[in-house]
Amino acid sequence: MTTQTLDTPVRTDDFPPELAGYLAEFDDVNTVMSAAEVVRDAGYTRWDVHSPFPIHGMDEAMGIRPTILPWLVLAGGLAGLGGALLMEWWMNAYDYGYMVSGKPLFSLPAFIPIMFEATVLIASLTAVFGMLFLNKLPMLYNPLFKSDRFRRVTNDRFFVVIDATDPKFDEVETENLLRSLNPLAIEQVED
Amino acid sequence: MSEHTEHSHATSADERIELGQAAWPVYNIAKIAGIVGILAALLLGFFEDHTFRRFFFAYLVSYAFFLSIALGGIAFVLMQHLTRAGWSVSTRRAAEAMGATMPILAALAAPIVVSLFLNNGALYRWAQPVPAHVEGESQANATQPGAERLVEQKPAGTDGEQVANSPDRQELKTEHPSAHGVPPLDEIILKKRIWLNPVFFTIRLIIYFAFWCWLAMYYWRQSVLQDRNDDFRITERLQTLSGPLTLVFFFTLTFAAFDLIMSLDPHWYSTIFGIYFFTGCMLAVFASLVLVFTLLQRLGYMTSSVNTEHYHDMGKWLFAWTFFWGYIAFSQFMLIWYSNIPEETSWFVHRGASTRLQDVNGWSWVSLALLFGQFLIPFPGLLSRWVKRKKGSLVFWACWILVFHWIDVWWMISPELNGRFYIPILEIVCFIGIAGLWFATYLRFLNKAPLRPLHDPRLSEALVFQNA
Amino acid sequence: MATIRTDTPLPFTLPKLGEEYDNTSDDPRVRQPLVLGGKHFNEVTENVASISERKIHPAWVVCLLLSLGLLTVFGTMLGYLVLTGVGVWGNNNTVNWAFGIVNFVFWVGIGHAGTLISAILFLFRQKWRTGINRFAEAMTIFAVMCAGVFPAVHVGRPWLAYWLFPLPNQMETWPQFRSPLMWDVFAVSTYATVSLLFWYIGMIPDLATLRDRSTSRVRQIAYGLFSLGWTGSSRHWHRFERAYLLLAGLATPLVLSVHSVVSFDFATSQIPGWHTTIFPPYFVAGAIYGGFAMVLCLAIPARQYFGLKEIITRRHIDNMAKVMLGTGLIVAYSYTMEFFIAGYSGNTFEQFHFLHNRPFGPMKICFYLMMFGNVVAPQLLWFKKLRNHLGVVMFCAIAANMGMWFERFVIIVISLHRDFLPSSWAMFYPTPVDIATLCGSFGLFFTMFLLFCRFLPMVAMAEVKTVMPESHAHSPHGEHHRWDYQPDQHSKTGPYKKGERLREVRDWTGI
Repeated sequence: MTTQTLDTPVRTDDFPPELAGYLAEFDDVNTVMSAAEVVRDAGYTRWDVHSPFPIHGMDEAMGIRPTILPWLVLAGGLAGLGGALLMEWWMNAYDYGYMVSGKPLFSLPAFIPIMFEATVLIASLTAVFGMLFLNKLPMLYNPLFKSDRFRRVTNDRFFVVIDATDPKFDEVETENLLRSLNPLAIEQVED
Repeated sequence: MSEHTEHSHATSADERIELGQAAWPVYNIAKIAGIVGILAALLLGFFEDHTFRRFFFAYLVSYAFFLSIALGGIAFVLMQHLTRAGWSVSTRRAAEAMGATMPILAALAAPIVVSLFLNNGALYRWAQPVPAHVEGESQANATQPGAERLVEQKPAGTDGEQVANSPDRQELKTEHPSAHGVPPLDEIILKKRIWLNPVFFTIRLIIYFAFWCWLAMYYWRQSVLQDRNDDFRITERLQTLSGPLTLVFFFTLTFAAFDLIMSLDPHWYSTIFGIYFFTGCMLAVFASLVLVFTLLQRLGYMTSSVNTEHYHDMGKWLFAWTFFWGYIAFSQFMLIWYSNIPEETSWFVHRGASTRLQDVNGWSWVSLALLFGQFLIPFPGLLSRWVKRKKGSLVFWACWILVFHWIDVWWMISPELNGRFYIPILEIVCFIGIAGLWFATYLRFLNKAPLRPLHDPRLSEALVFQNA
Repeated sequence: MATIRTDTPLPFTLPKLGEEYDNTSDDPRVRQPLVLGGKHFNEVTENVASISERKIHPAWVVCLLLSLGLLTVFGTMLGYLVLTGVGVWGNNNTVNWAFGIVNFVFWVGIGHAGTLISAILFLFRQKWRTGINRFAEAMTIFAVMCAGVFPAVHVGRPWLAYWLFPLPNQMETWPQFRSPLMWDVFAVSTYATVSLLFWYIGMIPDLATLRDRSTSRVRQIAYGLFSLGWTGSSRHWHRFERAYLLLAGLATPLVLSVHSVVSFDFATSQIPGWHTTIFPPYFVAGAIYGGFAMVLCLAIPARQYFGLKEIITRRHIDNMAKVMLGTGLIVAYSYTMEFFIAGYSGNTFEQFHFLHNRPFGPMKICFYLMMFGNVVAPQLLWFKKLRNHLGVVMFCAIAANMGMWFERFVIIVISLHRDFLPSSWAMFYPTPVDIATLCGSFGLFFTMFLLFCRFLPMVAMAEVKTVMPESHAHSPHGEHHRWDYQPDQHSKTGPYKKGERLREVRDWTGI
């Protein structure tokens, strides 16, 4: 645990570092939860809470609106369903029809399994890649990765991060706000 | 109600959980409707045909419908104990009471048993007298199910027309029925008389109902006992017993479905049939529970111990069983359709569920209605989260599913009457009769105890849980 | 500030069971802890992540070499098959499906437990799944890999296996979608894809943990690439959780459909023993039974040797044994239905198959092995004492795996070898190639599994943390409920005192 409350790293390169935001560290779900409520109520919009696991109730505490992902998945599923039916009809009943075991060329009962599988396949692909797309992942560079402290975000620490591009961001006031939340530490994130 | 103050953070202390005198007017109306309904059905049935064939079929439809609700109630209670579920505790008493109506259903089985001993095959066509000249021979066959007998045996009927059980033959038979409009026994049915005979059938019914009545009453009584003595070990005991009892319950339910419904067409068999019927039971119980709680809450009972989260969960189960019904129904239909073995396809041909145009009949529309009404429409209908969380929409789907569950039972039973499609007026009168008697019994059980468990150790969990 | 209610006495105690704490009590007044040892989040991370960070243990190398040996056998046998032809197997004109398809169904079945645990148990809010879902999912994928090999080589000319896919070609033909074998192609490939996605998506946060803990550049880059830049953002978690729920909702019917479609391969035919309507749910139950057996076969040693006893606890084993018992009973129910309906049907051929040829025919030994593994052995699991005995559970799990293999053998081979026409009856005898290929497929399975244990997070750390009591924000009243999963009070270090550690830190930083 560092003794500094505000880290200002010494930089030696030619490009002066830009302030990307503040992070405040917590080690307890309750505190970070109430901190999120404070930041939300203070009117910030470009900020986030980082945690090692999803926290139940954090969506409300942060005021996150429901994602549109379910609708994308529905669309994907319907595309799979319709696509499979079209494919089966076109390939077996239209383009290359031949009789097998007395079944009609267009045999709906026999087409259903593949329609179902295609629905699930396309919907699942949409769910996964839609989620990654909406989350703007993969994004292998992130200024947060420069912070040693932040490496515990995937272990046991919780961070409130306020982005410097937030319209309400102010170096002093934001820091004061974060201080008032009783964090373990506050750190400047530099880009 | 000082005993629930420990749950006061979730339940308002003034929640009404005792039905009390308010139930009596409804109880009386239901009872009268039940008796009048049954009498009217008997009368109508007599005018329809003097052997009461149509009445028996119509009666069986609604009887099986309410039996499925009661069986679903038992299954629900067993499942909750088996999985040590917390969410459902406050909804469990209503389901326990549904199961506890089993004794009245046992009594209402009387007409079915009577039909057997009329010995004319009015309901179950295997329940006919075995022709004297084949009796000895058929008994011999039945005890040794030899392969060659089937081919060698001479036609057993009186007019010599029924040789094999191909669908074409059966259609012929229905057009030229014997004495009571019932095709006479053929050699396949004679082989099955060892299982399908009135005495053994009645013994089996007695076994099923004895077990179900005991099971339902035991779980209901123990649960009520816990209200008084606050003993958590009751829950522990019910949990421990739920495993083996579920096993026995599932077997009795399956064989009851084989006996009561599948044997209406004694030639036909399907190994999945028990699961199909069970799925109907689960649909029926979750739909009924949604309606029961909505009704109770509208009347001012259980206003806080059953909340949106419970409706959401019951809605999820309705959705899940709707999907499962589609899965089981499709599996049964598709496998029989694909293999195209005449002795199996005949069952679907009777119901007009065929991809051959010449098989289309009045029942085809019911089959299609079932496909859409029991699966294709409610499936997307119940998909969204808000549908399950809004009471109005959930009640709509619960009613919808109950209606189509009744149609499902009707579709399983009535085409075996003579293959013709009837407007189900007699069926509806029978429904009113059995519904009245069943509901009156249900009210009595609801009235005998608080509407939810008072001291189940997981009650507080049920009162505050939230869906993710 | 609210604290976890550890001061007030709880109505249960955790009896000691050897060196482990027993959290298997079914006392209805409380939910038992799922993570033992007084762990806080950091200890969970440490426990799991260190498996892939410490030095390679010689025992692991020995196991890997053994598995690689078996894998070599597998490769050799497949090579021999491809170069020579399917004639090297014992299949004949009557029994035209045998070991190849038996092994396929066996491995696909095993592949069902992972998705069941991650999807169905997720929808059922069974929180104990978090301890075992990761490696069960991994097992699923490896089992599906093993399964996929068999139909591919069974087609005779595996280099033309791509004909199974609807690709435009110079012959202007298309696949026959009315054939159940085509359904299989779609079902199994969809299942493999979705399982892989499910597994990988769930692993991203844990890969990020390994990335953040890594000390070497190589590990940092490797885990960094695969964790896609995950930062644990709540906005990301929101969509992540939604995607996970949707995937669970999609994978649940998928897992039902896959083995149903496999069962359709048989049940759409007319052969007694193959054609019966209960096949779809019966196959699914059997798959889950066999799959859970395999999870137990892997979990019991893995928790022992990788030091995961406090994350994969007795309760997890107990629950899995219960699932095995339940699904085993569904399988027994299905057998009963098959036999009863065969008798009830009055159909000569059904009766011959079920009442004569299975129990008394020339391959009756397979039938009895199946009955032993699937019906008799799981009955031991009714008893809590036996479920608590790891040896007994392991025995049942191995018996179940054996029983499920023989079940597929009974269904496929016994049904085929004596069909309607006695003149076409024939026996089946496996060749050494058959047996070596079966054994070799275990080499592929175990090699993959060992590599997974070493290089990937074996337990879903992020998910395990969500079932720990510390992960929940307290209610406004500041109380912690009895029905929340409890912290383990009997560990040597004692329960984690949240308030104390926090105070210490605050004093230190002077805030």
